[in-house]
Amino acid sequence: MADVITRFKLETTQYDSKLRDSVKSMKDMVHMAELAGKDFKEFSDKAIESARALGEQATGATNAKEKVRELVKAYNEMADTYNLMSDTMKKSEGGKALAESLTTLQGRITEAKKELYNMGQTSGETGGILGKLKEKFVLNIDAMKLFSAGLTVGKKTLDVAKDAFFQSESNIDEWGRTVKSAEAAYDVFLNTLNSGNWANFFSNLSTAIQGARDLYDALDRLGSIKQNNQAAIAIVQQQIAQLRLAKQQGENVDDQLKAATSQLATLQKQSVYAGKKAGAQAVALTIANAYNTSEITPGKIGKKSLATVTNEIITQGQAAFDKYKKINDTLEARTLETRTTTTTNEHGITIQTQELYHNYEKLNKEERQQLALAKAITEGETRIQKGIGIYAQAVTEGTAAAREEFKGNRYALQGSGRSGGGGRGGGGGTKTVQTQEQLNSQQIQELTQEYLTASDERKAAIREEIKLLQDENKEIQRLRDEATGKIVRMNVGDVLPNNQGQIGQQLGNQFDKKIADSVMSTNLGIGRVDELTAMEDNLKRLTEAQKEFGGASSEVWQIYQQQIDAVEARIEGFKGGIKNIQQAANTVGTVVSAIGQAFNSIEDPAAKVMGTIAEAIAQVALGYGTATAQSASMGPWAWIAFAATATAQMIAMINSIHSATGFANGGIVPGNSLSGDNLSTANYGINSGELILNKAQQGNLASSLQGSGFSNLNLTATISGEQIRLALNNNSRRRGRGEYVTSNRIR
Amino acid sequence: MATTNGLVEIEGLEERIKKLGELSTQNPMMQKRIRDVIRQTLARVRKSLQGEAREGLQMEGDPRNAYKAVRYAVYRKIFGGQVNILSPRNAKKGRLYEPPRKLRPKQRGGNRRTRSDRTLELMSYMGPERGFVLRFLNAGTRVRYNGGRNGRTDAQYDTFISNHNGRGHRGSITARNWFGGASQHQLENAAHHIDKMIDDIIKGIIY
Repeated sequence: MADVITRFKLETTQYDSKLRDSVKSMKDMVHMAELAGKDFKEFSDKAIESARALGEQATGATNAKEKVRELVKAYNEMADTYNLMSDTMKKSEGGKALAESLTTLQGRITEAKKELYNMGQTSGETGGILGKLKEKFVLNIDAMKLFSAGLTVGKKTLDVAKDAFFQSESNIDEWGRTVKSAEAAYDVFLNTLNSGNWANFFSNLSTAIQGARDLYDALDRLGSIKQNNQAAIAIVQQQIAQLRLAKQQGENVDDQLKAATSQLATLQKQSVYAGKKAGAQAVALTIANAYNTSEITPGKIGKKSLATVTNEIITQGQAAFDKYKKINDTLEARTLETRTTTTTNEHGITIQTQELYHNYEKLNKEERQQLALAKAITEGETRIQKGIGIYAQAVTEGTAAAREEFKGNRYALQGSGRSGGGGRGGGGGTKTVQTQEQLNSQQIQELTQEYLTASDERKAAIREEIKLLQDENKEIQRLRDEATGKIVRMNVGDVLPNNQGQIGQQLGNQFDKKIADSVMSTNLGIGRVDELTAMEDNLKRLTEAQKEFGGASSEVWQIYQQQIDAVEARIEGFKGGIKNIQQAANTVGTVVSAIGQAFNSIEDPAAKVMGTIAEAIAQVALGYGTATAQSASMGPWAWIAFAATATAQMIAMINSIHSATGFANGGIVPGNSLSGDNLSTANYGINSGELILNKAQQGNLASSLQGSGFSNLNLTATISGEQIRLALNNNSRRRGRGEYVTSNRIR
Repeated sequence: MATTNGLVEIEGLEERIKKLGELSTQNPMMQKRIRDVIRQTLARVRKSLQGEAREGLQMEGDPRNAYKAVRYAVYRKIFGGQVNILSPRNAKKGRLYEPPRKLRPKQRGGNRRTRSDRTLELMSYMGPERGFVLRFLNAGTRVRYNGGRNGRTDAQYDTFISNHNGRGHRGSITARNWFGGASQHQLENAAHHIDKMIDDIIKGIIY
């Protein structure tokens, strides 16, 4: 019968649901931002308080000169931080507090310098000398300060810039020399500024710069040798291995073996020598720079003295440091004097001030030289340690090289003996193994005897050598057992009969492959659980096969069982690893999911940018929380948040996101200028926090919210059909109008 | 987003949440707008169906303008509506046709000639009641025979019948069955129109 009525209904359930989800996610995001904001606020308040207090920080100086030095150092560090801030950050409360502190410190430095001047010191000469410095080196104080800022924080940047901009080896070397020289020059300048000993300033500067350049060249040579000799060493090592093999097969290659061993030793000694030289040079340069600019004694340290003290430090280590520290403390204590200053203020009240200072005139010339040296070593300990590290590495490499040489020569020697008895034919192989073992045992006995009377250093070396010889004997024993049939090495597949053997072989291979695949994929994480289950199934099958197989000897089954146990252990370990990864992923996911999903729910690329940044900030805040609670497990985020300039760095981090992507791809304008259209990006007045979307992103945003079609919001229009009629019937029943079924149709 | 001395805000998010709230179908304004869209869409559908009826039903002359009997309605409780060729159940509502004015007793008017009942009857079904024409054409009829005074079953007695001794075959109408398919097709096409119009509404709210 013909229809006379057609109904339709708009289905809005999914539309409303999605809308609710989006709103809820956005509210979650607001909540998370608020939580992050609380952390920021607490941290920011502390940072501002800290910045304000910096200007009034106390000094531990016992005299005016030290006071100036400490204040200048503090000023430079603060200026570094301030210079790193963006303009926006400088305008913020924290930036203003830091600027105030800088001004305060500047005033205190001026006052301290005046005080120094009034005390009749030679600080007045610095102006003229700095002028000369400017003329000679085209440098000035401001440049030095800037350089200081760059040196402290921007060294990595310099390194990166070096890689990026210099292509040729000579340019790279010159750059490195310049950086090292500039560092040394700045050190000398700062030391001289602090000590007031301008007498040999230019001479010291030249020495320091030359020393730094030499040090750079020495380090460069060390690096070059290591790189350039890599291939040569590998080739010689390969030759030696081949010659040893040939020798085992009865060939007479002793002379070639000795020659190759000698060549290897020569190659390895080159880098050892270069390393020792660079390490010693670094130690000597540090001491010389500090000594030459010292206020205690005018003049330079002699080459012979420098070599002696460097050797002393390298060979005696901590004992040498202790010795010089003791000298330093003793002599410093002897120079300590009290000076009483009497002043009358504007109210006519007389004030007496007592000040502790060092009067080095109380010491004779030799004592002053000793003190200067001791102070240079004590105060430069950290830098000296770097040189010691380079030297120590070279010595370690030298030891290994010497051991290799020793082994190679001995091997060649043994070969000569065997060569003499070559007529014994095939039995020679076994005899060689036994001889080697006996030689090793004999060597161990000799070393044990020597150990009883050796020095501590030698004892350590003997222990290592004995261990090496014992390992060698163990390997010989193993080979002999294998040769005589005491140890049977075979795969699972070899011991199982026929079809079971094949199954076992296949399963064994599969285990190896699966385990290898799984271990490799642990970095990727979690998707291997199914494979793990499969591995366990296979293991179960293998165990069942083991039960069915009863013909093999107990030794064979022992090996077999060990293999199964090892596989089981690896599976368990792998499962543990997966669990950890899953837990870590869950933890991270929980932290950021609310924010990350908020905008993802409306599938908007531009909104995802916002979500990404929100995640970054949330992670920083989280890192800060972690840092304060568990300083031992600080991650990189925590360190960033925990640094003194954390707030600035957070802003810098957000800025870097924008600078990396640029507003060409859209983004959120960073900073604190929330009104007034002060920022000038793209010549438009913009404010921080405003979201800039490019044309495509605008389209995406519009599409996501309006629906690129209605379908994106899952609003569907259902036309006619059973559901509509049912809905209408229900509606009509509720309203007491009966049912729409067939009554209104003409059939 | 902004970070100002420890404050983290996501610029515009609150406003966006508010606007998304306005998009909810629980919002009375949104409900009204959606119903407006449905109403406009159904009006277009009705017009199309009327055109189809006029052109496709092969009604010769159609003196009563029966094609106009296609009607639509928008539901109040749910988002939906209907098109139909029914007559209104309540004649007091939406009566499009007004019968000619009839003079009262003893009242004199310009047209003194009284209309016959037949004339009035013919004129009367031009209004809401004319839907029956479409229903008859849509559903068809069986063969009808007027059997005379004692067997009048299918038609009313009239002068034509009396003149022919009250008897005669009235024939049958072939069912067109056009309304179901045509209305379904038109509504499906209109769904895209609804999409677009509701998109415009959302766009208007978001911006």
